[in-house]
Amino acid sequence: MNTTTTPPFDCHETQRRASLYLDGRLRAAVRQQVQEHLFGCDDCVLAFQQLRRLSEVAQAMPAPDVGHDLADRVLATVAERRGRVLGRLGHSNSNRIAAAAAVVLFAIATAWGVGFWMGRSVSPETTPPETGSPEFGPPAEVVEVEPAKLRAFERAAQSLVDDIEVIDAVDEDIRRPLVAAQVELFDLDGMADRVLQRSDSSESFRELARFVQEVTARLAADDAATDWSALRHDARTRGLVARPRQPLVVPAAPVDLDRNRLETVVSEFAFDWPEDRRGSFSRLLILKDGFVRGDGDAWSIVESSDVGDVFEAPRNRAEEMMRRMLEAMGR
Amino acid sequence: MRPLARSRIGGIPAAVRELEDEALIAALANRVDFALDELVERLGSRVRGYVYRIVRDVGWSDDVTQEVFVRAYENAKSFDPQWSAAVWLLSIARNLSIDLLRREGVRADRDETVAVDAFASPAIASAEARELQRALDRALSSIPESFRSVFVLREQQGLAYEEIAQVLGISVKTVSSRLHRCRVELKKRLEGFLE
Repeated sequence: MNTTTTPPFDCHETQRRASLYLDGRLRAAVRQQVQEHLFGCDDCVLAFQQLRRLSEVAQAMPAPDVGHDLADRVLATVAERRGRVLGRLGHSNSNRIAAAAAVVLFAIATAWGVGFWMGRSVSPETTPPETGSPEFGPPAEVVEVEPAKLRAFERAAQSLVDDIEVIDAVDEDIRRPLVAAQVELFDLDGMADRVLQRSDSSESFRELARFVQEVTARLAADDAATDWSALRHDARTRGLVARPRQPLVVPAAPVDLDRNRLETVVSEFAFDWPEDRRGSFSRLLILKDGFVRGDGDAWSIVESSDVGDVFEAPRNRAEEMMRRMLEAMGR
Repeated sequence: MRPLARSRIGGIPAAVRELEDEALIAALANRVDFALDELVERLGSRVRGYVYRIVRDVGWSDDVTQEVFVRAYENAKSFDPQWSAAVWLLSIARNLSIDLLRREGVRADRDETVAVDAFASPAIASAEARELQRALDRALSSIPESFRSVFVLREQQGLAYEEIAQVLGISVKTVSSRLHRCRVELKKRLEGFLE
């Protein structure tokens, strides 16, 4: 028999389980702990009641009619599209048949013509291979990317490695927004694809791109409990932590930060933060953008109070964090 | 081309009416067109209601809803019976809605009260209740879609966490986390109304 007693829940522990409690998804023991706290806490009872009322209001919101002819419209659309597809197939089929016939006739004519004039038959050994045939492989695809954008990606991705290396130092609720916002804002996943498609990317650069893809996949899979230690291990295994850092060079990458995009990203990841904290988060991302582009002056818009707001750190700690961030950026 | 019309005389056959939702999809795959009528009757409103909450436009939600059922009709053969029909349709609806938003962007000039009033039910008699629903509608519109979807699928569509995870292609833990954050934020914005 388990005689271990668990400490009672406080308001924070109780309220963070409110949704699971209301949806009946707590284990019996945890449910009981929540109820024990509610017996003695009017504030939490009120919070729970408000959430329940919210659910009731949402559930009572009217559902729209779809109109009596939706099924008819669907069938008419299906029929119309089938008609278009069949029409195209009929046209292209006759074209393909004609083209195939032309190729066969040409091949026969050519073989006969060459044989006739050369006095010998055409054999595979004497037929020169074509560019793009299996013997030579398909022409290499050249993915054009501005060098400055590649430098910016390299710096942003390396900065992501550094952030994840120290991520345990910040509160849990800031970790995902900090990383996910950068992935989104700097289109790291898209750039990683391009790096991997380029035949001239170094193996070290490819490892950096693959790491970015791994980060993106983990963020997409589970944003409630991203396994940061696994990502740190992955980065170390790929040799990214010890990878030489690209120095801050001029000129800066010609990439302007899209402020609308910044706002969208901040709204997405920090929509439920207080306004001043969201503002601080925006400024930190602008600072990061400046660093990525090699614009060393971007640091001037950020203050240690911004760092304090975002990370909810006391003043002296925020100042220390700010100093270390600027040091890492070569300032 | 001859349209795929079917006679309305006599309405939907009883044999079709008695089929479970998933069996209706199988019937659709065999081109039993009455199955479409029955499916639309059972799930059309749910699909349209969800789509509206995502695209936030009455006209667009009509177009997307129609396209959802077109896709269902065309792809009925690939329906996995391990899913529920509702989850499958809502999954199609979500993908089409997101595609539309990416193409068209979010309309800034929508009248937010239109839909609550357009979908007004005679059962909502109290002015106070309508006002609260309008406030919720407005608050929902400012929540990011990835959180709003979870809330709508849970509260208005009545899906379980696991079903929401299927529709959105995320983990159950993520459903739980996003649902809670969305509820807490909405509660904050509607505090005056909820007391």
